[in-house]
Amino acid sequence: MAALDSIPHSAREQLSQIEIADLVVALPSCSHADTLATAIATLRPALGELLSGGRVVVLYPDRAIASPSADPPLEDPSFQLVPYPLLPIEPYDDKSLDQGLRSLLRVGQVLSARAFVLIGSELGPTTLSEVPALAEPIVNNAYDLVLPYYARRQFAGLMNSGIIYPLSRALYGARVRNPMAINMAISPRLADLYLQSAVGSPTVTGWMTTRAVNAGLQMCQVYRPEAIAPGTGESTDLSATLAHVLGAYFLEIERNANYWQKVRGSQPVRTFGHPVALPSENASVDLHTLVGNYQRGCKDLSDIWAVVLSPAPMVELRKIARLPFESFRISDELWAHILYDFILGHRQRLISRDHLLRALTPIYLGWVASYALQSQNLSLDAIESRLEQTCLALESLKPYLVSRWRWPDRFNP
Amino acid sequence: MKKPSSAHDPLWYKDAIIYELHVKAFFDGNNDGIGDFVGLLQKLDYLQELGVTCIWLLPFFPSPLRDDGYDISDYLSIHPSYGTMDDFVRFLDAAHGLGMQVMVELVVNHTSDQHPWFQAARSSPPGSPERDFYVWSDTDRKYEGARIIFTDTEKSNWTWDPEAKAYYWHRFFSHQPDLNYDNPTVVEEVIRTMRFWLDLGVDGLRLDAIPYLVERDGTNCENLPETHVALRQIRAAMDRDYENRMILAEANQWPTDVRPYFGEGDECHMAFHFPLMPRIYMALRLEDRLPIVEIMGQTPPIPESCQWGIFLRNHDELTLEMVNEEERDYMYLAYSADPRMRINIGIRRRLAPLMDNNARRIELLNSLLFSFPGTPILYYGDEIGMGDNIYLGDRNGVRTPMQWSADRNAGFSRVTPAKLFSPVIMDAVYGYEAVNVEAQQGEASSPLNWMRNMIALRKLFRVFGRGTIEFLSPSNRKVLAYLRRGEGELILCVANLSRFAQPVELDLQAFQGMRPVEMLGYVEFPLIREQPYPLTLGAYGFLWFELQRRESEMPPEEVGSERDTLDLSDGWKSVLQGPYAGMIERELVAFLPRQRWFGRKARRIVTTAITDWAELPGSDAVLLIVEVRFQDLDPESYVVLLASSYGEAAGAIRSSSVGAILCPAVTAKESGAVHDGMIDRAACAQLLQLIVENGQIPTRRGVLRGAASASLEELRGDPSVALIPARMSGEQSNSSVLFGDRLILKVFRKVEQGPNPDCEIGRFLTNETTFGRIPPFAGVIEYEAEGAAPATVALLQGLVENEGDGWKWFQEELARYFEHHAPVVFPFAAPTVLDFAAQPPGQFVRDQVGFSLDFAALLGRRTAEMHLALAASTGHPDFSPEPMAGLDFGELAGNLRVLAVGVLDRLKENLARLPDDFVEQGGLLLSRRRQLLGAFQALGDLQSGGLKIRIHGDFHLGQVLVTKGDFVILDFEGEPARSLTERRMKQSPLKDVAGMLRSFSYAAQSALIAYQTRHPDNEERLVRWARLWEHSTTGEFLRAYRAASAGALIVPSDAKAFKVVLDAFLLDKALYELQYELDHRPTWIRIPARGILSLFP
Repeated sequence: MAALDSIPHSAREQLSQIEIADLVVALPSCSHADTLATAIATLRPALGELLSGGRVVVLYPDRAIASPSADPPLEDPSFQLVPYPLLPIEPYDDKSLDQGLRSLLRVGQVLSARAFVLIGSELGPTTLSEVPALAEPIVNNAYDLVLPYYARRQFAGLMNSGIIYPLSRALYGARVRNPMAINMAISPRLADLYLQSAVGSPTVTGWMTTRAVNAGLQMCQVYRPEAIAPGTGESTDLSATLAHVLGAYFLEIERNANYWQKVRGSQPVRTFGHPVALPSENASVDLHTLVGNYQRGCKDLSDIWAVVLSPAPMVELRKIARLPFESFRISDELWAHILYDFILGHRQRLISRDHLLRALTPIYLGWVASYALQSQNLSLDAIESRLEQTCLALESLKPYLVSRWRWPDRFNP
Repeated sequence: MKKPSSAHDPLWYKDAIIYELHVKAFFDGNNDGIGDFVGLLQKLDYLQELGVTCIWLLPFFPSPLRDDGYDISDYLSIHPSYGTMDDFVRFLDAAHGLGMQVMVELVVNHTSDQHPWFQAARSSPPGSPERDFYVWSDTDRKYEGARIIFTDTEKSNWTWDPEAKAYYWHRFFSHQPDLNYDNPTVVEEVIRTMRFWLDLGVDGLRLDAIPYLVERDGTNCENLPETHVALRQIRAAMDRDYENRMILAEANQWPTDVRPYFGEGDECHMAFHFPLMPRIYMALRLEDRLPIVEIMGQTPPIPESCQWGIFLRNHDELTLEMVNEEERDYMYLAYSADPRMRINIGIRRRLAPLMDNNARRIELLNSLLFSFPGTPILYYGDEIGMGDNIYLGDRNGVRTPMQWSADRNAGFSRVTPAKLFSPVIMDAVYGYEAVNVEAQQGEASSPLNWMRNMIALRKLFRVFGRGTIEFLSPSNRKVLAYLRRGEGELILCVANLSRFAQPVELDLQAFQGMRPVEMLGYVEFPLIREQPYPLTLGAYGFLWFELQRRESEMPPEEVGSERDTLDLSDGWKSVLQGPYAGMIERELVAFLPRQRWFGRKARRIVTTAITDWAELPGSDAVLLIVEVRFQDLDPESYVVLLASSYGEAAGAIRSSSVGAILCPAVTAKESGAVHDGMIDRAACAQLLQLIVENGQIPTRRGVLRGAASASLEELRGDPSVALIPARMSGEQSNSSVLFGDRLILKVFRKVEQGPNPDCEIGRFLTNETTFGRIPPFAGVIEYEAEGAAPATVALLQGLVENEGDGWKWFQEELARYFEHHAPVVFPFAAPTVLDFAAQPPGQFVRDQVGFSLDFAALLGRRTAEMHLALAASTGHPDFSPEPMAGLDFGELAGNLRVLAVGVLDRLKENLARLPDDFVEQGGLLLSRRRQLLGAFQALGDLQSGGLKIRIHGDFHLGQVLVTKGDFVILDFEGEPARSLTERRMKQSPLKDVAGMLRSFSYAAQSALIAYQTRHPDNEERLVRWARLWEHSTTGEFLRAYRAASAGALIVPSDAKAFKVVLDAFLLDKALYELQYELDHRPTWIRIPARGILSLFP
């Protein structure tokens, strides 16, 4: 048994009695005794089957639940509940995610577990079913990182679809659909790497994906229904969210520059299960507002954009602002160019990094409007193809990023 | 308290960017006019942003400062002008915190005459322990062979000390007495000093002036064996108690003389490559790559854990000690028009003024610095193009304050300018108002930003620090082109040394189908095709290309379907029977070309396939039979022995033999590496056991079978004494392991079905004849695949105690011979080989050539005895001699003629790109084409003469061992590049004789080249002495051979026929050498060319 020094006193005694486990699951968002009971009822048979009687330890937040509801299965040595000082994980909140992960991984190390599962999103039947699904590729196929591949709705998760996923894919070469998911399964090998890294890495989830790719570890995805997470943050303060998410992600790009410059093209990542079909919806967005935001941004923030962007995309952006609503388009090539210029501007600290990233908000809204205009009458498959074009544009323009990264110069096209 | 190492990788210095600076000149933190550690601390961010990973601090110890701090009066303190020990420690910790290592000076050849040790020594009586710290003499005539280094200031290496009433020895200034390394207490004190700084956390030590540590009469007092003993003691002390530290040797010597300072990886980690630096400048000014290519050709391989330190400028003069007189004249004229720019044997100028401040020239030179094999060392201020001041004394003109800004004192200090330790540079071109950090930071195209970008690019590709270099030979010699290969990367660098645009066509056929991607701008260039690759470079332009495979050739697998780390939790069997065998096969594609034994490095491997394998019981190793498929060659099979190591053992392999690692490995418990099994003792022991026990190991598709000879028990000796396996380093096409001092196991890497000639002949000579001058045959391992003939995998022989091979022995003799004859005028015209072969050499020749003659004669006799034994009538059909008939001569002549035509054609095609001073000789050789080919006609016309027998097949001085005044003959394998059938053919024994005669010729010429590179004068005189040595030794060899074989009919008895056959083989061998040199060492092509022309005077 690894040293218990890193484990809070409250859990040490129980863990030392348990001694060993095959799987450790952390449920930091489990905030009610009832939810925990549901989790036990769901996970116990499913994991029992997966592990053929192997031992499972479930960590739940000790502050939220003073004691488990009636009938805790503590007497079952193959399924142990351990109250643990876990905090709820907010999407894109690295601090809470880092804390949750380190707790889970340290306990897993103490118990010599074969796999670790973190469920950071809200618990429900769908989310709970993710536990065995994510754990299985590690238990049965010795993968190192398993991430969910969520089914997508037309206007959901656009920051991931339009920025994070295409960037992650172009830079690191692995087509991981949700590189910043807060639900994941991890092998002891990746756990070791993570725990060796400095506390408070810029982007924990981004780190997981890039580190796994970088170290040549085995990574896969599992098809899952739509992500269930407490609010994306986009509706509250989009600029702050963008600055927060991209700031951390761009730092990670800077940190991994030696790796991604050598990656060419991208390759699919093995995905287990079957794509989940979601029922159709009649979602709509206020396109006029989005375009208006873009046009206002173009007027107010042009000076800041000109610091970051090369002359050619600047001219393009100004031209687009003058287009009639129905012709409003931000091409994939232009979008790729903009994202790369912002990454470069962020690296070179041309202006305050927070200012710079917030200044991207109107352009992002313009991209959302452009995407919505192009996809509003398309099937989900056709939308998928549309996003694939965006990804390919970023891959194809990657040499531009590499060349300017290697040879920073203000004299650009 | 001992601080742990700041570096995590034991080989960190291979990837480092070293920045040399003087604390006093960098930044003044307390505004007293002298730079200090407080100031340096404030500028660490600048260095980190520049990309520096290691700071080299010039001496900062208490000193009278009569030699810029290299005259140390206290090794364990800080000079008060630079701060306190606390300041130093704060600086050190901060540097480590920013990921930078720190190297300090260990100036231990000499101290200041103000050092308490010297003060005590001069006042203590002779013979006292205090006196014994330095080198004293009653006369100044001792060690007269030692040159004076500081010729401008010193007249002798001895200085009279009136207090001691004796002379003391000093190789540098008279105020720097040399320490006495014959006194063990001195070595102990040096180690104590080293420990002091390492305990503080210092990462590297630059050992100053190490060739001069020890003195001996009758020598030049440089590079003596006793110096290496002291260095090994220092290194052992470092390795014993500290991790990841480094020693950098300052030895201003030729590469071959610096090589011993690396030892076997047990002396210095790094050494400066001094001769390269002036040749870079010379090549630039001459607009000719030859000086660079030549010196790199003379640079020997170094142990895997070692590294060259390369630089363009440093704190001293641009030293011209390592060029000959003519070259020195050229350099003075080219780079120091004003005599004030010269000092000692060198030029005291900075990089930018040397380049006339031409940005493209500066960039070109830096591009060479960053892409040549070794760790680049930058001199402070050169990154912004600082100038110098030749009006300051000594070398102080290149040691002026760093120019930080256009403010007063260049932003270096706020003190009154008159109080500065040195005036700042103020002229219009290089002055601080024009050239400073602040201005350049804000300018994207400034030299500073250029340097920062280049450093970042260099750091991106580990191949620059760790890979091999291969020069290409385009016909335009104004263009320097080379490949850097390793770490899974392949880089092509092309540099135009000319001031005008240049076209070039590169032979990149071996990389056909790959795409060059220009690395600075990430620009894709056209695909490489079969035709020469055309490029045009602008004036002083350079291009770095990453050669990338086309995306269509990239593995199509999904991420997650392959692993870079091999999971050996369930052992080799589960890996090799499962899908991960494919991963090993993929890793082997990169692994094989890294192995010295792999003979097809120039060929592109398409795939490998493990066709058979067996685990070696009692070890964690597996023996693989690997079929290698090439792009343009038939597949070949190789024996690959793999083992796995974990934890510290794996760490040790990573630090000492990183090239032997196939891939990372893990088990459920630990992580480590899969590596060449020949470095695994247990694996080697199992191979021995297989022979000892006459055992068998079943493989998947066959069997490995060991067989011991009757004499193995005796050869092995006392069975209770364990024979510890130790890998030999000098392997070629096979790998050898020593077992204690009793046995040697040679593993043949290429799998060839049928009897291996080395085993076959060894067994025959041991069992069927009385010829005892070979290593005794002890056993063999054969691999027999189902339905196939056995192939020999390994040969076990008794280990012969020896003094090295014949090549080494004669090289040492020749070094002494040239040393002795350098001042002697050659008295007459040199006789020819046949003159010497006809009659014994006279007393004069005996007196001059000495032992070499006796040994050559002995070797001639042993060679004849070997041939007579191989021709013994034993009834063994594979060995029965056969007469050489007319048909045989005709066939032989035809074969040799075809080969000769091919070589002559290649010479003709390539003549224009060969060194200028060879072109005339090459032309002469081509003009003799008809005569040359006529020699084979004469051979073909012979009707009989001598016998066809089994012969050695690859006979040269490297194939014999010198043993107690005699020779033992090794390696009957034949030329590895030929097929097994060819190597087993019966041939005229004169082929071996010709091989050895050519080897004597090579020995003489090679030793001459080595001597002349160190002593460039007396060239013509020594050529004659070399000829005398060559002709007399080869004559003696031949005379003794003929005498010992007289009457046995193995060679033609008719003198004319003998000459025809021997000349034909000599010609064939020399043409083979010509082809080799043409492909690999064009600067050596004169040796075989001269050999050929000597046959057709």
